[in-house]
Amino acid sequence: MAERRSWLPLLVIAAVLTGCSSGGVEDRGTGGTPPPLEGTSAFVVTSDFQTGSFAVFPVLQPEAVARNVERLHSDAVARAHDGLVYVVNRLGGDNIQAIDPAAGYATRWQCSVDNGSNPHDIAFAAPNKAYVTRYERATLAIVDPTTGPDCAGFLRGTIDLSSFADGDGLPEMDQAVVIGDRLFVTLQRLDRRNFFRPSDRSLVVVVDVATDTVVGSITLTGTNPFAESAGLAPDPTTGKITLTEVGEFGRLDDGGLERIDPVTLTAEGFFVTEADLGGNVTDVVLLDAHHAYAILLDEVARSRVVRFDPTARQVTATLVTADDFLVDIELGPDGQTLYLTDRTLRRPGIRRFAIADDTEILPSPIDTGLPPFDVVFVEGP
Amino acid sequence: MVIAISRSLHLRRRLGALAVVVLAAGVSPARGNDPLLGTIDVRAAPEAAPAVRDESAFATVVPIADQSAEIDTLSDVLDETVGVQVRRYGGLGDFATVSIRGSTAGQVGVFFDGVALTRARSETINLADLPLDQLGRVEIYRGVSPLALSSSSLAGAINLVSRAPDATPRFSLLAGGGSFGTRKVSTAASGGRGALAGFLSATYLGSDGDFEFEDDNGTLQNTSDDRRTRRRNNAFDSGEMLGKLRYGLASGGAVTGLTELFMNHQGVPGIGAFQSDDASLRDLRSLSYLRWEQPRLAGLPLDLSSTGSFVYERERYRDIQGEIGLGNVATDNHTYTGALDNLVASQLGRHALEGRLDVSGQVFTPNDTLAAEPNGPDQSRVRFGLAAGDTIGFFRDRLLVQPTMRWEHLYDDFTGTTETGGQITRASRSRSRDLLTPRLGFRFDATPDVALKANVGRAERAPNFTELFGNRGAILGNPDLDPERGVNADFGFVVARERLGPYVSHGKLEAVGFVSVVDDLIVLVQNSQRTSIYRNVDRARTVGAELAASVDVVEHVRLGVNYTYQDARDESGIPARDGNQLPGRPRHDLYARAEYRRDEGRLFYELSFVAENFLDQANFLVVNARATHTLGIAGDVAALGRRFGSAALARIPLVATFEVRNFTDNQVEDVAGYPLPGRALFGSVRWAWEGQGDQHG
Repeated sequence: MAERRSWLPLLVIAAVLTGCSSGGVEDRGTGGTPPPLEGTSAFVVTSDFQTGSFAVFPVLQPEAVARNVERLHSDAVARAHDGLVYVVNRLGGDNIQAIDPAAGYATRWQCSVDNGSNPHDIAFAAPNKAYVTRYERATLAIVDPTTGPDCAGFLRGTIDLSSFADGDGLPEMDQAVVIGDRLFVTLQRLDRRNFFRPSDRSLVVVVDVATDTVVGSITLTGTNPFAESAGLAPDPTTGKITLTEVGEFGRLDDGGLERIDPVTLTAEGFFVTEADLGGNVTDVVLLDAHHAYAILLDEVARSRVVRFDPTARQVTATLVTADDFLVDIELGPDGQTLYLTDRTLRRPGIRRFAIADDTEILPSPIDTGLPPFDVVFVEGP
Repeated sequence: MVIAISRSLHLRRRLGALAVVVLAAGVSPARGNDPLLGTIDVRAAPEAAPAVRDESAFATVVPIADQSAEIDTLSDVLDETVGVQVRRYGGLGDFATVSIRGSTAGQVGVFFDGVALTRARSETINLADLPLDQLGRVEIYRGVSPLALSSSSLAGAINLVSRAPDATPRFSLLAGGGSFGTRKVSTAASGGRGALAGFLSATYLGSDGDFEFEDDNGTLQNTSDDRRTRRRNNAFDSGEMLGKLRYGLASGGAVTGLTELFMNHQGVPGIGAFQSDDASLRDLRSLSYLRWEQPRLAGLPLDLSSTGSFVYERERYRDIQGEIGLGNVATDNHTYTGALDNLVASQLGRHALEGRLDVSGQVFTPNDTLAAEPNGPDQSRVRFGLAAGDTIGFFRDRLLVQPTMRWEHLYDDFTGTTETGGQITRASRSRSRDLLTPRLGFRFDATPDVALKANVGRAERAPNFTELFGNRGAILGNPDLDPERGVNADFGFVVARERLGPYVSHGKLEAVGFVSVVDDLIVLVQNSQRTSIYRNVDRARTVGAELAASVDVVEHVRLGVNYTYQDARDESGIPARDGNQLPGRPRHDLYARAEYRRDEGRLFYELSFVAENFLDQANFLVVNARATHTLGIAGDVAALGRRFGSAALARIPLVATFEVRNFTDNQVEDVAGYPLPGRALFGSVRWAWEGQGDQHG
């Protein structure tokens, strides 16, 4: 009798075998309801570098901000094109995510560009053709944005840029833009074996989008054409592309702003230097010959947003000084407002400044849930 | 650290003397008959449980039984302990860290025989680098750092205690293996003659680590490209050797020398969606100490213990293809640590006094073989510590009051700085700081079976080298960092009763409530496009309860349960984080074990239940609650032979064990992107021989 009883506790415990859940991972934190897409909205990529999401708000009604709408990778940037937002989920995500603002910001598709490839930018040549720069690869990806949720046919091909690599075997391709029938891709050419310091001259490589062949390259005056989240945009008046060339971070005498001419395929030299402004230039908004804004990073990693005169090559005002990460400045769709993604630890958010007098527009900052990283604008119907 | 505090002179209490461990060959631990001193691991027979080092602390002692033939690791042992969570980055041999009462891994002090293993470069210990087979027991102190250990830690301490050699000659050999190409061979021998006793052990453990898991391909919104795949580049081979020699002195003291060598070579697979085929890590650790213990020094009521130790560690990490992070990495770092730790104890009336004087020095020499300047600036820390404590007995020692105070002075020196972009400037920088750790403990023996205990104390964690001086340029140093400061308090009771009726015996119950508040938590903040920096920005509060119980039923069945409830919250005031649950701290954590034991073998079942918890500080990602079940069986061939009348079998001193872990094949993660193995089978065979002890000891 004692022996039978001694088995009983084990039998009882054995009866608890099934019915317990299995420990799968779920996404619980997102699901904010975005406001209807009417007029122009700001789409803000947010991240705490563990998790990512996005927030949206009408530019005329920032108090209606919807936070944590959907999951993104923790390192991502966004590009608005033809009514959709294309999120480039970088290293560790390694995919492109197409989001439809008109469909409540639902994801249309999410397709890998090869795990570990670290996509940095996407540039559109045609409705069914885009190029994705891949920082950890020597080949540029050609993709079809008209793919569906199953990503069939998404990866169309590649373009080999290995001949432009530096000694570590990779060219560190970063930003890209299509102008006319040509694709322009910045190649940083940094030595990843030595703290990503410039190893050689940096280039912009030129690709014919009809034949997908390299047709030329532009050697830059400085090195390390850098942008944390900004893309390349040609000047609407001159058609030229402005690059922020940092050189070595922490050195303030080897970089500046330079224009490249996409027609003559030439670099025009620095029109403003780091020494003029007093810091590495990590982002810039040019308004006219005497009015521009930049994010500067000094030798001790302190950031500033400054107004400067590109012709006089002088800082004329400091809007923000921070010991925290200032990532992105963009000119708003009204042409009168400067948007800043401010990741100040205890007060992160989107900050807005009137370019007429550099005053900050309230309410500020606009709380985006997770700290903001990148902002683009989408137009409603 | 094996210390002798001989209290038998005056501080004899109803439940026995408070001496700890062996001074001379052949003397067994003296406090096995005081079950109220500490929580006993649910797998241990109470009579094998040694004493803890602290009257009021809530501590768990896990004897690493000789007869255990299971392929367990230290991670497994700690994960089953009340108040402790282990976060794994994979299966056997993969990186794993420990948390006590919701702490960070760096807030837990880890010691080997009292020699500190935590390093000034980073206090986080990889549990996979620590031995188990060479141990006699593992001591886990929750919320306190006892005075017997040479340095303080904010959340508690884990002391790995090596086996004590004695005169009885023993030899054992274990061979085993199982799923994912796991293989293990372990051998141990001990014996003695006269005043000399020694112990030798060697263990090899390896695995291919190629378990299957669900890969989402990094596309969270697209399930069509999800696939089942195998872990790659996740193999490891590790070896552990230990030699220990004790010499009993005519004066009643002892001199003990120990050398431990650990080597490991493992692949580093990275995240599941993008596995590295090439990254690898090699570790080497050599630990040696010489200890002199002398009770009643020169005939005085003074017990002295003095330990000189030296630890050398080498860590070589290679990610030449840049598959794990951004950039190509090949580092070869060396750490040298020397220490002299001294403890003195004395009995004066109702006071049992203890004092410590500790000095240590550590040098970290970084080397980046790919950098233009491969030899990074050396970093060093000199630590000087003084501590004093008293255990005051009242009402015939039914009430014990334990005030302690520890003061540590740290001097950190950096022979240069790594600036942004990896540029090294050779300007020396230094920083000194003082840490104070006061604590007050109480113990009241309400009845012979019931003890009430309480503790309150303050502790600090000094910033480590990476936090102070940076790392390879991507992390800037912040020499102005303040220590993390915490206040811990707990209150509870322990009940132990030998008989609970005709069928139930060896019952023990421990219930504790605790609270921990840590200010000035140091966290890494990205402050620019290319740099991050550590800052004192965070605050965390954990409130919880622990329940541990064990009982024997009808002699052959042992039941045990450990349950931890904790509410660990971020109180930093940082938006999107404030008020959130701390990641990796489940609200409920349960471990239960049932074992049916006879001379011929045993049958056991284990249940591990972990409540849902968050993987990230924003509380977006939830890992659902999971229950993991393990079944096992062990058979003693000789005993089976005797039972069934087989003379041939009765001569074979073999114990064979077989177990199925996670037999419902749950697919889980402790850290986002790092899958854990599903169902796994392991088996082992152990042969043991024991002779007669030395009659002339």
